[in-house]
Amino acid sequence: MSLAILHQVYDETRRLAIAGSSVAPGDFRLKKLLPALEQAGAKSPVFARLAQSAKALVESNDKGAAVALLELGTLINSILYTQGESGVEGKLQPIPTMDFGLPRTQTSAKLLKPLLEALTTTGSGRVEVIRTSHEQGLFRDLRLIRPALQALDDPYSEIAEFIASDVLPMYGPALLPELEAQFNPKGKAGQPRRLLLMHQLDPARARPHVMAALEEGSKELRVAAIQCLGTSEEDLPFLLEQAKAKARDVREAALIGLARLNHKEAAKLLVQQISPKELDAAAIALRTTESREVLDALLKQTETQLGVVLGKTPKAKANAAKEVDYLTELLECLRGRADKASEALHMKMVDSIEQLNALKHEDVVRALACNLSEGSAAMKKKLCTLHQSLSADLIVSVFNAAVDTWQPEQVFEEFSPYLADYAAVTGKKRTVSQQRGETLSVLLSGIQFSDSKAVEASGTKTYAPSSISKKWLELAIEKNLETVVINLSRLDKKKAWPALSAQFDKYIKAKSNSRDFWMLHGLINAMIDTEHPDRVDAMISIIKRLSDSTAYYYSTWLLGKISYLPAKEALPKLEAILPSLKDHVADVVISHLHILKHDK
Amino acid sequence: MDIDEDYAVSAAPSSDAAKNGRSLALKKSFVKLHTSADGALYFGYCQGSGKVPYLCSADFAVPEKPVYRCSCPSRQFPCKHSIGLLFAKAMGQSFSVAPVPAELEAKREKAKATAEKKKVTAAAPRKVNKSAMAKKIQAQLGGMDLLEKLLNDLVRLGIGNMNAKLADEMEEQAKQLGDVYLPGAQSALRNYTRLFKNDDGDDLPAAARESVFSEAFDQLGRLHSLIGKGRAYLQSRLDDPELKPETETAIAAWLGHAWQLRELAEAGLVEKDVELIQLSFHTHDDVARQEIVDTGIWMNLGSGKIGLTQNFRPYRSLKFIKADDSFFQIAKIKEVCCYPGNWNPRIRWDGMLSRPIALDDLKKVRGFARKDFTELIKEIKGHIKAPLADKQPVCAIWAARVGMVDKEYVFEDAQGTRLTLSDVGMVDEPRSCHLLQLLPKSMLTDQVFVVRFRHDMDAKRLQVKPLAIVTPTEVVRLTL
Repeated sequence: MSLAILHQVYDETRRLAIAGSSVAPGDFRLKKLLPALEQAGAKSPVFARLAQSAKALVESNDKGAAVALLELGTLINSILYTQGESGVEGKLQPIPTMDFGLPRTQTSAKLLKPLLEALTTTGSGRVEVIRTSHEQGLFRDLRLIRPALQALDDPYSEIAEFIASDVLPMYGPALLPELEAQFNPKGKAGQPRRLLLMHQLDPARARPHVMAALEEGSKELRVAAIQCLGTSEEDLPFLLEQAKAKARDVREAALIGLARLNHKEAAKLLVQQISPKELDAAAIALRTTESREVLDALLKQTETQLGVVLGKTPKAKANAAKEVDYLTELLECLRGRADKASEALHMKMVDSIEQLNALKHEDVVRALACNLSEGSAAMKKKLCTLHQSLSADLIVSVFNAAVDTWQPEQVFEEFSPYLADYAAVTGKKRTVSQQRGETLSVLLSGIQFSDSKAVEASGTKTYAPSSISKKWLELAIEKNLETVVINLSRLDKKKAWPALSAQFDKYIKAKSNSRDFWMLHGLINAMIDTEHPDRVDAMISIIKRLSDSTAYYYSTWLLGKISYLPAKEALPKLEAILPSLKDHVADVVISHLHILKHDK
Repeated sequence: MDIDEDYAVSAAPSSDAAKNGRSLALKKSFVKLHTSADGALYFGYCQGSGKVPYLCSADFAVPEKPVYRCSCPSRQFPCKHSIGLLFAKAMGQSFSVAPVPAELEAKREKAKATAEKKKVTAAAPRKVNKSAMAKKIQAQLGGMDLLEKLLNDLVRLGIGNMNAKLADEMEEQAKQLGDVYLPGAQSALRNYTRLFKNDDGDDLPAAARESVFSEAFDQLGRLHSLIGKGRAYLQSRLDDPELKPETETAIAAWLGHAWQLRELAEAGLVEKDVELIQLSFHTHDDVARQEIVDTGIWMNLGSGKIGLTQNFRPYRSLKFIKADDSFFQIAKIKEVCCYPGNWNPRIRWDGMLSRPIALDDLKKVRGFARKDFTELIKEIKGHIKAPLADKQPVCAIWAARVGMVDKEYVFEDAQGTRLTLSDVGMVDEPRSCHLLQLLPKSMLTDQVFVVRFRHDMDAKRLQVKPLAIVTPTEVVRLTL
């Protein structure tokens, strides 16, 4: 069977169907095919039928053309259905698989539906559904990849950001074909997120899309694209040009790209940015650059500016505040530097700490303290010696440096007098020592331990449990510093239990105000974390208290740790009280019971 | 009757109903929980918002067809109270033996009597009102004339000149087809007109318009064949009032005939004592029918034949019709009715029991997979060439190798015959080809795939889309 003639007939019939049957009678292109069809028809009945139908169409009039066209169309379609190719020539290559663990695809449609709706519709309450599903591992289902990708365009940016940062990266580079298919360099909304994600997954493959976005993209997309540059010297001319852009965010992104390049010309431009006018937009770039040339220039300018501020030149007196601000900004550009030259400059500034304090400009001292606390070991040690010279609110930086460099007992000896002083406060007035103690109290009430499950945001300072002396807990118990006791209870469980029990009894009986519930929240979490023997009964007391009060809206927050209770003891007790609870509290308890039952 | 939490969840009409039912059981909202002396009926009183507790029950007198009743005013069926009762049983709450309340007993008796009556009615020869039937067929023939007129208008106009406005006007006229008992023909026409509109009912962009031309051309041919075959079928029934709906082809369903299980049984389209395994499940919005369609793809473990369950939920009554769900067990069914149609016939049943999937079941499924692509391709082509055939048949195939040629995914059988994979044109389920990249390598050699075939008129190729993988130990679903 001659496929070529069949395809020609199909193309002509399709053309006539598109144009309308009124142009079909006498159509010369179809007419031209008739002899070949008739010739083939002599050998094959199918062609004969086809020739007959084609002839009927060509010879039809306006009235009968529609039916004749339909006849021919139906026939040629039927024939071509049997003539389709099904394979492809060439060497069979293995599929580059990106297995991310065994897919969990046995989730029922009924269970996936709420998540799919949360990902693909709008309305309130979706963040919770998506976050919970992510925690439960539902996104490991392959079928959710596409809806998750669509959620990059979600009008509620919190969802789109969560999907981009937490959900999609776990699928790895296998996601790229889908991301590429959906990428539109002229789009807004989710397109910058798509571009950044493609770059994160495979910078080389994302390169053409980055370039397309730079050429024809919207402003948001261009900023995202510039953030992806700086991995190749080819980017240099473009980045140099963009570094002069009017829009600050474009300029800032270009400078970051230049800092990443570590090229001579890039360094030259970055050095030019170390001026009071340009420094703000270049801060991140200057902080991240590895160029020695730029760093030297920055150090030199900082030293000069220090001289200016400390009044060694007459210029300082005229515009003192601006000069100090510039010094502060320069110091912020040096944050995180631990090299010898940076160390030397910071040490020199510490030597002038009295003069800097005398400026009555706290920001510059704060910037210095921050740089020391994030610098080399020597810089941290130097900072530790300053705890009596710095203002009360800088005690946190000094304490952190001390924890990193001193023994826990030495830290306690040096800093505990402040906390003891604070515990003795009776009125509103505070001495400097008491102010430092108050700041330490707040710090110790909220510090997060490095092995804690509750570490919330990345970048938050965490502490190794062994780096904090148990004496802090003993002091807090002795001085009745409740919140400190709660937070440090894990340092010595058995010593903490009686204190936690006493506090719990006090607050569970107190009148319902927000502070009581806040304290109960901390207490029950501490009791669960320290495996307090009465933790199940304590939780039940809280549940009953919530059910009896009008403050039921605390339920979700206060009862969040039910699922961490020991299942064997907690399940029967919780199930027993369920019938007596008000609906809103019972619903929260039930949602946790389900996890408690199935996870244990 | 073994009732576990999965059973209770599967009986619930929605995830919310399941959640609320579980909540009622956990909160011990059931004042009393009882079972009948024979253990076939569970009933209880559930404290609701009213003064008097609701009497709800789950009746397993016929285990394959449980009946749920409740005195609450909810229109959801089964309601959360009946589901809660199942959860209470699944959680091991205590059900004491008690006499069945009179009102419930009366309903059970009535249901029993109705079932008996139904049996008698079913056994009795059906009386056909011949004059009414002739009148109906006359109206349908009139409808076919209308469809022909509309079709000719469309062909004269040309595919290239169609737009969303004209499509709307045509759909408006096509409503008359529904009025003359031809809903199937109406849907067929809508299948053509919907090609020219986007989801918002607006015109398609120029590039997208051209991509639907081949599909539209094919749809015109289908409508033409439907008119020819439909008219002949209706005329034959008009000439012979004793003639039953045709079972050799799907023409009756094409015209919109709603088959009753009884009719299918009378036509002998029944298979007895069947075990089915669900290989895939998806829900899609059928704009042409104005319905949400839940489709399950099942394999008969005895014959290896693949059939489809379809649950049609019209937009206007979505809230009140229970959605089907994925099914992860083996369905044991006394009588499965098969609709006319030869490749993947629609199947339905009235009640079933279930059992867990065993490795032997998966072995059977794999055993039924087609290993010779050449022969299969020939059969598929022979099937889809008919204008009114299902153009996207489903089949289980054994791929000796899975790989890529250039950028295309390819299945290859042991003899080296290949099938290319594509998602193009198969929009009812989400895309799935790219998911192969996320699978472990072990799943890509000597593996059984459940695939949907489609002939792409533009590419002039027969292609497949993977729906699921059946390994020796599990069914991995790729679509939803």
